[in-house]
Amino acid sequence: MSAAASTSKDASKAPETDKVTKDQQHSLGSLEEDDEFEEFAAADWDDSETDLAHLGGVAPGTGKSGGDKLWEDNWDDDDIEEDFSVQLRSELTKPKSTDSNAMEQ
Amino acid sequence: MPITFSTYITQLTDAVQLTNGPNLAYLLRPTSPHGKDLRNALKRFEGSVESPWDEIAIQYVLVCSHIAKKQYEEAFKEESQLVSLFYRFLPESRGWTLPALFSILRDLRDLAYDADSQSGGAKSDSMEEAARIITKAFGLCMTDRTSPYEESRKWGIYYVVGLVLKCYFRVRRISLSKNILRALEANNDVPPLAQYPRAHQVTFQYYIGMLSFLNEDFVKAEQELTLAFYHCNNSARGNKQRILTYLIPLRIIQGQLPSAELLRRFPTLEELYSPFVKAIRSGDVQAYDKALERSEQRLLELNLWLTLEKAREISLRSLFRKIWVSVDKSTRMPISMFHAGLKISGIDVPVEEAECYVANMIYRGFMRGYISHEKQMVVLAQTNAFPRVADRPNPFQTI
Repeated sequence: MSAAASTSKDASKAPETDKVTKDQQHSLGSLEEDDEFEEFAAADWDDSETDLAHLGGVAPGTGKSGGDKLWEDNWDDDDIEEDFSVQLRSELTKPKSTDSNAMEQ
Repeated sequence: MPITFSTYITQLTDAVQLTNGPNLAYLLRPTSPHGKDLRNALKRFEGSVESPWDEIAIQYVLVCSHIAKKQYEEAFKEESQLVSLFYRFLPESRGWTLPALFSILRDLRDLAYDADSQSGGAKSDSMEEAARIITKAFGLCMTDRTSPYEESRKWGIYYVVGLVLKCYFRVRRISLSKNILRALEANNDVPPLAQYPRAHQVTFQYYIGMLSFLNEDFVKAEQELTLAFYHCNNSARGNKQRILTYLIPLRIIQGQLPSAELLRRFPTLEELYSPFVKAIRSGDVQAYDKALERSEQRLLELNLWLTLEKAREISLRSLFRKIWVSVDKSTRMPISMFHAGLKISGIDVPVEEAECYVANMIYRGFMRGYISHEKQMVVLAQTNAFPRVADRPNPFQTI
């Protein structure tokens, strides 16, 4: 009941409500093709209000090794799951089923 | 005594209420004496202030009245008139008028959008007309040769260009944006972009990035979107997300994976891209294929499917590297080793195909070494057999 009441209340100020829902979708992060680049609320701003702030003068997008923590450029891992090595070894020692099939044909 | 507008309206409604046909006819006849009175009444405003502000004021009222009646096509037409009148004034003015110019152009575009939506379906006449009208403002800003540098109308150039691009993107007539960009390039006395307000810079960079992406100039797309992302105000989350949607796949191809910290800030993008990122890190090609399949529809709509399909080879490279690490980074590896590794990862292909994958990896610079086909052996470089993906010289060349 209360839900219905609040719906009708919202409907009375339709344009604003629309806007709010749209913004909520953005903060929830809808991702639509038609969703367009929005007008900025302010014309200008400082570095401190952007992602330049954490860079400390490094060029943007250099990756972690260059000082930009938003991107990882060094993600090769030498710790292989034990499982993978075991499986690989057993696969290599297996009699080659595909080959024997080929011979039968 | 001359009749006023409010008296006239009362007489009209009186005639209707009294069902007085002849009187109603008299009231509506242009040749009736009150016609002149009423015309003079409006005319009083018409020269009462400096042109074109008298007419702009009248246009403004017309626009408002159409909006109130939800007649958006008419409202758009009247707003177009208002903008044209404003253009008459613009050449004599300095940059102080730009906030008003931006505002009426923005309204024009919004009304064009409403007009097109109201007429239903895929019509885009009003939006294209809006783009043409806004393009005229570009010329009017550009031709300011008298104002002092600080007060020049030239400070309106990038905003206007951004707005024109926004119109064409909205109606998917992206090729039409070439004209204004060409005009922009042809003028060499435009102040450098970096001196404009950040809102103008970021909007412009975003659209140039997107245009480059759609024209498959991925190097430029990546550069422009990176600039747009880093200069964008953090509070404009929707815009940041929009930029990142395209920037993340482009940077993945360059071997720069979005960090967990970055993805956490944009849950929608985390949901979309983290399966790909995980599959690349772990060399799980099968999981990568599943992610491609799961998000196929969405990626196609965003024009991003091909880009992510291209990045699949990076997860294949991780798998090959994993195989190499699990045999203690041997410099000589039989093809059968890669074949077996593919198989336990769920990719069951003939040995010949496995060999072909290896050849491709070498060709694309993901692995350093050569294949001895006779001996069915891959000989890897002593050092740096698997260079970092980020170190590949021309990551977009083979797309």
